[in-house]
Amino acid sequence: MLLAKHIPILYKLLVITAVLICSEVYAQAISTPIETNLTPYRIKGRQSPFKRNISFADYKTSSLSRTFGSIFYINNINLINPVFVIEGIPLKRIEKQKRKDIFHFDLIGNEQTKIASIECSAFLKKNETFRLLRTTDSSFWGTKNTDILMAVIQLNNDTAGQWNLLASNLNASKQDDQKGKIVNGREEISFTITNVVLKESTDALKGKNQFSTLNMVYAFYYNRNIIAAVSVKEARRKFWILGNLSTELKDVVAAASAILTIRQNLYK
Amino acid sequence: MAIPEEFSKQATKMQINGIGNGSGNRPISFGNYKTSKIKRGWNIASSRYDRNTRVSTEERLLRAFKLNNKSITVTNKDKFQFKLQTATRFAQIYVMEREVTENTHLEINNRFINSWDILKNAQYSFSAAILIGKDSITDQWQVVMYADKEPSNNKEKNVFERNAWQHEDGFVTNGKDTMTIRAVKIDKVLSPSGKHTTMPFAVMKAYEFRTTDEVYAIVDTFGKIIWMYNELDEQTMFIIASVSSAIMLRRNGIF
Repeated sequence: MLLAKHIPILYKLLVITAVLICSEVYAQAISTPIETNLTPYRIKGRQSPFKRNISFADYKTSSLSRTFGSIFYINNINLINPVFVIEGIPLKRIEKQKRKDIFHFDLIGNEQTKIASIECSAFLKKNETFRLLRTTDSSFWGTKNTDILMAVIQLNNDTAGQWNLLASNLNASKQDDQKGKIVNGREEISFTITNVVLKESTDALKGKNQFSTLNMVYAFYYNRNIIAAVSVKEARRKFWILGNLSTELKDVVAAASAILTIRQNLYK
Repeated sequence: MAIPEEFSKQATKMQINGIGNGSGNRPISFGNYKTSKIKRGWNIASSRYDRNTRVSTEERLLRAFKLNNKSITVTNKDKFQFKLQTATRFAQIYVMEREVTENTHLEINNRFINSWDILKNAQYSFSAAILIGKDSITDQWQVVMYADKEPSNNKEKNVFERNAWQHEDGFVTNGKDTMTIRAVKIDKVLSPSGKHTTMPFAVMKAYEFRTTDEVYAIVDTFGKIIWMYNELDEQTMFIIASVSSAIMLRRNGIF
């Protein structure tokens, strides 16, 4: 207990290490596809919670707006949490929280033409319980969490060109795959987070267009082939797309990439 | 490193001269091959707080213990270029290395430890463009080697294996012909006294250049030796020599 008084964080880390040794194993298979035929583009844009318009390839976003509740939120107060604590070590901790991210924007093409209107809403309902002295149940790994993102991509102001996007676990609140689907009734594009070898640059100067690197991306699959990808991490964000796709598929994938880039991380 | 006798009997051994620790600017040479002075760019490392990609068990526990942590992405990038030549051919070689690491960063602000980083995942890429010619450039080859690691996916392994690079693979291609590059790791050691020992983790020792069923060359990274199969044509030997010299001249090579 003397140790706990003088070096509280190190003391907590010591307990965490002990808990980790007893924790469950979670494994996820990872494969490494090679897709060096996709053309890379840099994603440029502002980073601000109020306005996050971006531009990439022949596309840019405009009229991006978020609801008030997407920016400000209140944590739920649980009386158990401050009571079940000894020397800063929680015996039981219950986390319940609701967060949302509702926004809409337009996707603009190369000649300032409006390609699509996008409405998006993401919800996270967190319900996690941690117990130190009893076996930690699956809710600790987020099985009781609800983590979904829904969007409507309206192409060319035409109801026939409506695509629906549905994704789960994009905030990684569960120990599960982070994936989603985009459908319009006839066709389906799916996406998931994976590591893919992709071309680094299109700059032909000094052989730079020959460089390829391993990137963690949302990979878009159409008929089991990767047709596009967008960076997961904010650092040096890029967008890759296959050159010979139909205009509709290109626009849908670009809209979905914009959603995945603009969305906020709700699991904090 | 011990090379199988079946291969060494039919191969030429080339010791790499002038390489030092592989991070300098001095030219290197082996067999009939000689490089120009190595022109190196800046080895740039940058970091920023970034979006969380996956939430590890460690992170969940830190949250439960109310220890504030953030996801930080560190990017390390290096570029260099050089010319490799023999009496009849030359190659202009451009190389890029990149390592992206995502860590859970914990500010401790203790007098003993200031901060603590827990590795979440990392991606390593080594890529090169090789422009080959006799008088002018006639052929272009692309080299890609990559690996990743995600310790939370390998909890059943020991601490060394958990943090080791996984899915190491590579290839060299010109769009029509392709050779694969395979990393050879060794965990069994034979001491000078003849005693066999198994280490708790495998050590990166060499690279094999191969097609489906044939080994063309072996690059021993510890001994700094290149073994090349005698029956290869001059162009293939030159491509292997180009890739091997680029591999040996890496500054951040991790496997």
